[in-house]
Amino acid sequence: MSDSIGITAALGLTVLTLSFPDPGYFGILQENFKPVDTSLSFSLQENSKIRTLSTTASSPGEDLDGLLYVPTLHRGQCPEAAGLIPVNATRRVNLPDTNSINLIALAPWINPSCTLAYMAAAQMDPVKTFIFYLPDNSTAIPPLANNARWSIGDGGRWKTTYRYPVFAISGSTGGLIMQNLAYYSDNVTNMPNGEILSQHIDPRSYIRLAAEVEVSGHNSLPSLWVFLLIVLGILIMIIAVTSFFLQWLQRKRREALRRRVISGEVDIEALGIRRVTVPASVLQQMPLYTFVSDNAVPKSSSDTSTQSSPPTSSPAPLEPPSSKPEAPSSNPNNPNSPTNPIASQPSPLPPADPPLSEPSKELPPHPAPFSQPTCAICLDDFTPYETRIRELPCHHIFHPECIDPFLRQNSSLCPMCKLSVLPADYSPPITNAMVRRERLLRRMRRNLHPHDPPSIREVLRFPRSVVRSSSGAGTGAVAPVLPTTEVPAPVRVRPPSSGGTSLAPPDSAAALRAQGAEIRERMLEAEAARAPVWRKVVGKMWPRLG
Amino acid sequence: MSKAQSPLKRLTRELQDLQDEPNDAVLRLGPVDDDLFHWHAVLKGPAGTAYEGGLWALSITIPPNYPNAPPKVRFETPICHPNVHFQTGEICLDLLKDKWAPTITISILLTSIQQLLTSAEPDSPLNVDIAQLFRQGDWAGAESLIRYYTQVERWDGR
Repeated sequence: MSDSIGITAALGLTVLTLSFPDPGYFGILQENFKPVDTSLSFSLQENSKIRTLSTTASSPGEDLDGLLYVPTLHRGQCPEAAGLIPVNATRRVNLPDTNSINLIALAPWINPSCTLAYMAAAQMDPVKTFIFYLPDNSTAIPPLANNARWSIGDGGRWKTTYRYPVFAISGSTGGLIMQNLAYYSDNVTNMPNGEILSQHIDPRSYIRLAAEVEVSGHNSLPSLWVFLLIVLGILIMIIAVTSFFLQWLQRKRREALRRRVISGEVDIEALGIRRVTVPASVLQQMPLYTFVSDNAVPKSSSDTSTQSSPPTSSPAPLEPPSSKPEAPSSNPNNPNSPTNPIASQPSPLPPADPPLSEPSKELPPHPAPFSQPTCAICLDDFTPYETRIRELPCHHIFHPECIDPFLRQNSSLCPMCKLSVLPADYSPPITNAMVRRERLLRRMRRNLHPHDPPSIREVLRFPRSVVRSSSGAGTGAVAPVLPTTEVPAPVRVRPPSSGGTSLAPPDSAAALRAQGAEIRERMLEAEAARAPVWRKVVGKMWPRLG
Repeated sequence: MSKAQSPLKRLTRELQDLQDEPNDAVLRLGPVDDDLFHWHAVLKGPAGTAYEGGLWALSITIPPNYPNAPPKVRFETPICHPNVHFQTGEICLDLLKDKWAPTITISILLTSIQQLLTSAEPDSPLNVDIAQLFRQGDWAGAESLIRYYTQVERWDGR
C-alpha cells in the first residue's frame, strides 16, 4: 500500500467514450458500459508521453480505469483555473450519483495551491487516480517526477497524503481531453454527432469519457509465481499431513508394542534390536547384602533359616523364585546366637568405598542361595562377612561394583546364566526399529504358518534369554564355555507369559539360541527379499517407515 | 554410580589362573612385553581334524572396559577357515560380539576359538573360497585345502 520504488509506472493512457444506462434504474453492470463508435465520438490513445508522479495505493499490473471528470473546488479556490477549464466540463454532478463507479480526476497543474485543492477535492470522490497536465499546450513529455515543476513545497508529503496514484500527461493531450470533457457532459443531443448517436443510444443513457491508465508489471509472470507458490504450498501440505500421519501411526504402534511388552506377550530382548540395559531404578531393587560363605554357616543354623544354602555339588535348578531375600533374614537377626560359632565375629564391616551412593535395598548378611565363592566378573573370592554382594533375580551373586556397571551399560542378562534381570513387566524405551522388527517377525510367522491363528506367543515361546537373535551378520555358533566355578543355572520361569516352558540345560540352551538366531536371520533375509519393490523403495526413502 | 573397576586386577588374576591351570588349546598365552592390555597367543590345531598339527599366532587386544566388553582377537598367522578372514585375520565369532559375557576369560575365549575350527559356520563366511567348498559339500577339497594352508602357513616360532 505504500509508494514503493518503481512498482508502478504508467505505460499509456487510453481515453474513449462510453455509454451506459442510468445506474439508478439499471444497476451497475459491467456489460452495460459500452464504448461508443469511435468514428462518432472522442477517443485517444497516448502511449508514451505520460509520467508517474506518485504510485501511492497502486499495485503493479493493475490497470486503473474510471470515468473522467474534473473535481469541483470550493468557491474562491484556485481562481486561475477559470480560463483553463471549460464551464461545462464533466463534473461530479454530471455523473451518476453513486460511489460504486470508479472515477479518474483530470485537472491542470497550475500552481501548488491549485493542485492541493484539486487533490483534496478528488479525495472526497471514489477516484482511482488523478491525471494532471501542465497548461502549456506543449506536446512534449512532461518532466520527471523529481522535477521542480512538480514541487508543491511540502517535500513530497502530498504523495502519501492522498491515497491514489498521480500521473501527468502532456499539455496538449490534457487540453484536448479537457475540451472533450466539456462536450460529453450533458445530454446526447448536445454532443458532437449527437443526432446520429441519439438514434442508436437511449437518450436517457449517460455518454461520458472514460480513461484507462495502463501500468507496468502487467504480464503473466505474477500468475506463474502464484501458481508455483500454490503448487509448493500443496506439496508442503501433503508432506506435512503425511508426516503427521506417519508420526501418529508410529507412535500408536510404539505404544501398542510397549503394552504387549509389559503384558509379557513380546520379548523385546528376542527382537535383538538393541542391547537392553538395566535402569538404575531397577538395579536398586535388587538385593544387596554382605556375603556369608555357606561353608561358614554350620548345618545346624539351617534350622533357623528356612532355606539352607545348598552345597556346591548339589544344584538347585528349581529354586522357588522370589521370597528369597526375606527368607534367610532370620539368620543374621541372631548373629550372637550360641548356635552360630561364626557369629561371635564383629558385625559386617562397612566397605571401604561404597560402590553405590544412592540408597539400595541393603539386606542383613545371609548366605547366598547357591554356593558361589567367586565373583565371576573380577574372579576374586568373596570374603565372608566382609564383601558386599548383589544378588540378581536368578540368584547369582556378584560384587556390586562389578555387576552394576555391566548391567547399566552393557546388558540386561545375567553374565552367568543369561537370564534377564529385568522385571517381567518392564519395558525399555520402544524405538521404531523395534516396532518394525517385531512386525516383520509377526508377518513372517503368519506366512510360515498360514493355517495357525497368528500368535506372537509362538514366535517367542522361549524364555526371554533363551532366544536372542544375533544382530551381527551371522556369527559362528559356539557354545560359550562357562567358568568352572559356575553352579548350574537355576532357571527362573518368567511368571506371566512363558510359563510352562521346558527348562533347557545351559548347553542345549546355547545351541538352541544359536539355532534360533540363525533361523531368524535367514527368515528375515527371505522376508526382505520377498518384500515388494514399492516397499523397498519406500523403505529406502523413509527408513523409519516400516 | 560406581565406576567400573580397572581391568588390570582381573587380567592379573587371569594370568595367575592360567599359570595354575594351563590351557591345552594353546601353545603359549600371555601378555606381550608385560603389557596386560595386549596379549599374544599361539593356538594349536585340534587333533583329529584337518587343522591337526597347525600353529597360529593370535593377537588379543583388551579394551579399557574389559571384561564388560569383549577383547579384540585376530589371527596373525593366516588360517584357512570359513569364519576367519585370510588376510586380516578377523574372526567371526558370536562370543567376540553380542554373545560376550564378562564371565568369559581369555583362556576360555581361546578354547572357544579352537572349537570354532571344528565347527565352522559357512553361511556367514569371511573366507568365501573355503566356505564355498563347505557349502558344496566338497569335504575332500576343503580338507586338502585346509591341510595345505595349515602346513604352509604354520607359525614358525617368530
